[in-house]
Amino acid sequence: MTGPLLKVENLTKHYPLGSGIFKKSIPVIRAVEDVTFSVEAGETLCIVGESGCGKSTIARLLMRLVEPTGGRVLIDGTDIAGLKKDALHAWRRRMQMVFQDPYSSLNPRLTAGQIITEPVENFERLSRKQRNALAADLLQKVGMSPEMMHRLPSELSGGQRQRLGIARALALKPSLIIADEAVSALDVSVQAQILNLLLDLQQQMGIAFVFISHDLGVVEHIAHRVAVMYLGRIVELAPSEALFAKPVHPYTEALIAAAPVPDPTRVRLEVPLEGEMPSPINPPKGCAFHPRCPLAIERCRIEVPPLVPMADGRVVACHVRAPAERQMQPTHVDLQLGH
Amino acid sequence: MGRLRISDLPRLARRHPLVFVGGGILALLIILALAAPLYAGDPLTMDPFKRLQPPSAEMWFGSDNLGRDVLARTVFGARISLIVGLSAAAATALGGVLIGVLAGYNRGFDNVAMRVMDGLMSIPTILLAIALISLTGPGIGILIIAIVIPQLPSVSRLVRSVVLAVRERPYVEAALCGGARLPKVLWRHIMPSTIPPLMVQGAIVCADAILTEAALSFLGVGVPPEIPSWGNMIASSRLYLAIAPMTIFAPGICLAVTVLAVNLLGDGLRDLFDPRSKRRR
Amino acid sequence: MLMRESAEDDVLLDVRDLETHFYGEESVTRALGGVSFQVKKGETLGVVGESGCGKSVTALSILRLLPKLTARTVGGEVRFHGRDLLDLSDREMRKIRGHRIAMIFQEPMTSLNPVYTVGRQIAEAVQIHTNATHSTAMAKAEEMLRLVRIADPERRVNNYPYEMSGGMRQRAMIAMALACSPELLIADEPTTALDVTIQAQILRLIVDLKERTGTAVMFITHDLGVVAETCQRVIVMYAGRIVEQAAVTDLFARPAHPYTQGLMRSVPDPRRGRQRRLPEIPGIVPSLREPIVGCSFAPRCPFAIDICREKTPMLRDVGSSHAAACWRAEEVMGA
Repeated sequence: MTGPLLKVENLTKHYPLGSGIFKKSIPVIRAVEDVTFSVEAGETLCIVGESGCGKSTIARLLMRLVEPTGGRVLIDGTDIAGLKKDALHAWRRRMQMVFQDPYSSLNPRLTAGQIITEPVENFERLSRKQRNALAADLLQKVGMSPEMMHRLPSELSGGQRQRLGIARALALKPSLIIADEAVSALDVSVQAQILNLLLDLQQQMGIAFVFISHDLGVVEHIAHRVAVMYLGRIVELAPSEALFAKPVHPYTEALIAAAPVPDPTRVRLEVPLEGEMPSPINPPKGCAFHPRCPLAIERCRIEVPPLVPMADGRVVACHVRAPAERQMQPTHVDLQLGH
Repeated sequence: MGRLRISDLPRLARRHPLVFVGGGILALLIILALAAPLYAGDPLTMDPFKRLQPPSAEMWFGSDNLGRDVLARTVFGARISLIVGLSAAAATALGGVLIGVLAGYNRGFDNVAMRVMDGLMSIPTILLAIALISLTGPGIGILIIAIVIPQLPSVSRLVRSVVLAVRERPYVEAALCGGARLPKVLWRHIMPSTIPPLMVQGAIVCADAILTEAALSFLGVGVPPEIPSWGNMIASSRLYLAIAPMTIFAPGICLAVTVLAVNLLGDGLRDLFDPRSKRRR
Repeated sequence: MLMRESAEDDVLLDVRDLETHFYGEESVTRALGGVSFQVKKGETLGVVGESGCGKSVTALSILRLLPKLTARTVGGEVRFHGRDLLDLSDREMRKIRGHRIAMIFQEPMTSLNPVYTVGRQIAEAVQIHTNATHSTAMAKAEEMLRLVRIADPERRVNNYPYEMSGGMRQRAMIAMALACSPELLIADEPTTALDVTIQAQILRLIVDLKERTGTAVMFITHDLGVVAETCQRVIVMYAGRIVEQAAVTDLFARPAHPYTQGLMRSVPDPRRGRQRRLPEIPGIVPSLREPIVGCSFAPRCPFAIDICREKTPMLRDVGSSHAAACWRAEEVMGA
């Protein structure tokens, strides 16, 4: 068996607050803290969490738009975090990104055709004819007519723009697409169209997705596995069905309960979670969730809970629901699932 | 997008009247200045018997205190003003983009360049020009340099701020994700955004340069006195305002109209280059 | 007409044939093409639809907050306690706005002034509409912050907006809106910018406060889940018109307009299966710059027949307290 397509090990990103030539210690934003996961070819891994939990930073770290403070990102076994510029350039072809905002992620001065063929032109020269053929092909793949290649983004609807963003990501035939809130800015009916497109592409081309979202409905619909993040750390990572059927971490539980359900007959009894996420500059000691957690015990205030593997193939970081002692070998946590 | 065709002109005039009016006046001035030898007399010939003449069929704007043709001097003076204005604007824009883009992308260079710019900003244009010219002697080249240097800080700061804002845009990150290398990202995705504000700033610099040249020539440290320029024309005629008003009004009005036209054009071009204003939904 | 026959004194706001146009350089956008509905005392009315459907324009037209240079309400009436708000002078309108009808927006940061403390802004809202002294107004501000469950209100009144989190700012906005005990609160996507756990808190807060104060709420949102959890009655808008209105349970149980149906089905729902294609509404929203012949949804509608493309359907009763603007509503409900 070959290894996973993408393997992320102990990935950490701290943003320094201001430059500190004269200060001894600079406060840092702990955006991502010791995150480990892997993605198999053709699989969809969703990362969910609320704003500020670090999920978008992970996308940027994977694309090397920002440099990690620590940890490794391996694609097919090669660590791209250590690559020099030229080598990295080549690895870009394996991994592409779809952005959240279909408006600001397209250069307003370029035509649709120029936008979607640009990635290929970064690697090879195209004749005018080749370029037009490529643009037409890509547009058709995302369900748009080839005539659209001469339009400017401002002449397209939000849904069409997001299709362009996807076409641009497909241009290099990547094996992994990172979608950062790719459907969050879209209307429901357009969102359905784009989700269908992503599912189709996955089926036809076997593309793996790291799909970052705050919308649990969308996540439940498309994910094979789900990682729940809170304040820079993964608190639970599980196969999608298991996670939604029976969330183990109290935060996962609250998140699922908080999502509004389009069913007026359902009566919500209580607000699932009080308080707000603390600042990542000065995260609480111990388990970062303990100030809001209804189950918190003394230990949660002192000790950071490790990710502990459970019987059904999930990992959970919670002293109460998944105490490490119950496990045989809590020292080595392998997040890979037995496929 | 695409090229400008003659058939587009009426639409351009309707949608962007500023470009049309400003550009039209400026084009007319350039043509008049270039074609000066064809219709105007020699600006240097003196005629002691025809001093301070009122306008006549022979000399449309009359003559100055040395009997030189005011019309000829005005249109030849336009050459100086336009050369100084346009080349100062071009040089400032070029230098500003170079410094601004580098500063926007390189922290180290940014720190050094911006402190240097702070220093340059504190030098008054007129004093610098007087100092430089007293070192080298009068000339158009040194005049342009003296005008450009104090303008560089504001233009490069402007470009830098645009670059800093645009480099964070998702479409720039998207280009990097697509494997684009830095020079291409700069050229294709970042530099075009600096053009609209540069147009406005360039127009301001151009207008300012024309005025500065006039002021310096008026003070006698601009272009050499025998070369006609609007500044030294106004300077040498100021004593005869009551007797021969055309000697001051001709270059003065030309100066005002040119500066106005340049400013109009700059504002208009900004709108023209801004994709948001082009096709509003 | 339909559903209008409810006891008149129940009705707080009665909007009739509201028409608003936006004027562009070369075109006119008919953002609202004749919108009629009522808000009853103490109820929560949901207004749902996708971007560009006119739901926010409806709110702005009611409050007369449209941009003056580019937009105008060209027809209809907005009766509030029997008086047409569109006939009032600017001065009279200012007295109603914020005092008897209040509004909260999606992004609280843009509607709070960054250079004044939150307490002062609430106090000011109180002082504009009542002749309270500064100290009583400040006391009221503190009381309002307590009401919206901001912890530590004594301290928070002196906070500037930037010192608060997004959720807290939205609470402060609600406090400011409710400070003068308005009869109607218009909430335009108040939780869209918030995280789900915070959204749940704010929704609960709005529902609780509505029950305590008896304020009617007009809740504008694109999220069907939010509607289901907060509203009693719902209006669905499409292309500047109301296509369906119903009690919330009826709407979700038996949507009578193909657009409502399509909208509900395109929301991912694991009960219908994961990783399956979602039912799409094909096509895109029509441009409102050209006049639309027939039903505006006809080009995207699976039920469309000839009459749909020729005659615009009016809103008609399809059940008790359920109306839809569709020629084939009965078939749609059966589907």
